[in-house]
Amino acid sequence: MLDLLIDGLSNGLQLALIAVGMTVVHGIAGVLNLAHGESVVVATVTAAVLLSLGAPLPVALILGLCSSLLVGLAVWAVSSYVSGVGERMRGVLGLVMTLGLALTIHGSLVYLFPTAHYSLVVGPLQVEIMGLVVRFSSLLALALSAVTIAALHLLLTATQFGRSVRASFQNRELAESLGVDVGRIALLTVLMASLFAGLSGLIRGLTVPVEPSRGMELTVLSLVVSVAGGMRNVAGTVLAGIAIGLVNSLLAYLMGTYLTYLAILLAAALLLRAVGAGD
Amino acid sequence: MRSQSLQALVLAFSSALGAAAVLTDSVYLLRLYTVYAFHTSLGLAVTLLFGVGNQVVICFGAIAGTSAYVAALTQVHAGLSPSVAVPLGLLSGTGLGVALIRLASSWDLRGIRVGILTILASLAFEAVILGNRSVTFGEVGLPVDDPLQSAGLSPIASLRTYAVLGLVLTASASLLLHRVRGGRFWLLLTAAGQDPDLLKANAISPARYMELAAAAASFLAASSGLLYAFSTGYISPSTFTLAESDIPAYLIAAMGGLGSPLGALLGGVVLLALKELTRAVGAASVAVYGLALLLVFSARSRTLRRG
Repeated sequence: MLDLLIDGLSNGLQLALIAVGMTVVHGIAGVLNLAHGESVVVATVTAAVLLSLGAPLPVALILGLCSSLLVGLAVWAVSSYVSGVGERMRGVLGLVMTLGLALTIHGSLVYLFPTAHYSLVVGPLQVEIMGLVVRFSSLLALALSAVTIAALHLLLTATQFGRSVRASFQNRELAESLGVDVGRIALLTVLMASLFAGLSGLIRGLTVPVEPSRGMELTVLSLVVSVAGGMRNVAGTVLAGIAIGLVNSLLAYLMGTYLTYLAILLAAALLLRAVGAGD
Repeated sequence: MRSQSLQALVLAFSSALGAAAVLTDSVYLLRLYTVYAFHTSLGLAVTLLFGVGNQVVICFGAIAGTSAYVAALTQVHAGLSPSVAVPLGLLSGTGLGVALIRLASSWDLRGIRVGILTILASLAFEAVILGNRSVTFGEVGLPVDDPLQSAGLSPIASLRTYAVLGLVLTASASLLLHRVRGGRFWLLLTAAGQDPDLLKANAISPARYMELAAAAASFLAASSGLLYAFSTGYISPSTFTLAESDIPAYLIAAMGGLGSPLGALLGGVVLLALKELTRAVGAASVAVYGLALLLVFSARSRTLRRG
């Protein structure tokens, strides 16, 4: 049971890391990035392939993160391309084009690594806490997720970049009039979102094998978290991520994976209503 | 005059395909016709709801799949005759599409939020099929009783009938949409998609026009799903996924000019060629569709920027 709670909390923090990126990119670049889950998968797959080829761990991890930055650059290219279109069509075109990007990456990964399950699992080590046995990799993933979330929080609240991101997120026109280079901030935000998604992927690989085809599922889960968090609310997204991670782990244990997935999809649809009307 | 020439061209094109379908004994060609009819019907559904009504509906595969699965399951497990199972399938597929659009209207969702709602519906459809393996046989797929073969037709004659029916469905839907293009329904649907508040201000219900369009588009998708299921004699959830059904449908609509019912017929031909050319790479064909979607919609956004 403790394993379940630790995994749930860890999954929730990782989901929050991915979903915050989706929320912030949607708020600043105006594009709902359906290729976001691919940033997660690409980082894990790249690192795991490099490790299997004998690359040192730090090199594999850094190149894994670089690969998710490449996905971020592609998303940035899409968002720049649709930026001149009217606001309403921009959202729709961004949605369809990032879906195209997601499928391009998904198809390429499935073609290149058809039957693979990639994992960065550090071994079957177990530790004892207050008489209960817990997997070491779960604890490590939880600690790393918490540290990464804290780093993201600091980045967004205690740096000039973070202030500019929040200003652009809340009121783009006002931020521009106060001298914030919103275009540059949007580019850096998209890259930051992909980097944190990649980090989440590397942490995820410590506890569960990541299949190259899981990108869309991760995108949908982070979309659910983003919707549950209010779609334009970073703190709400983090809380929603933790809650959904915990609920997901517990329900999957009690009801099975498919029923849990259905319940999450239904909850997302209902939350879409609660979040409010509009484009 | 131009409209009449286009109509004549489509009639000639569809008649040529229909005649070829009637004359050929090639199973491969007949299967190609049914695949063409399936994808083009979904492309026409996208043309109506997205191209004209501006609604991002990304679950036409699930609508076609619902229709096919309901008809097949009620035949296999409940022992219903095709004369009951087929209307039941059509009703459930069409009902799903209308229900989703009604839900979106009553929740006042627009643009990408309708897209999110319909993507969730599409994923829920897949989860229901995969989560009930004892009934649906999951990824393995479900065998479908062919009512034409049960009535005594040979397998090739049955396949030919489905190919012709599919071509008639797409050609007549395309011509019907072309005829109403520019008319009152078309203009009000365009307005309902672009500025629903303006219609409300003029005491016109945008939801009514959107639901009518959803009913027509979903009926088309549901019919094509049924024809596909009966012609192949087997259905699996992989046929009705976002990647295999909805993305090709958006490609067809975009290649046809978004909002052009006759263009969608030609878009279907290009998609079929793309599908056949990428058959050798298997699952990687999804990457080709994705790339094509990116390229086609890049061109579309360039046009909109100039506009």
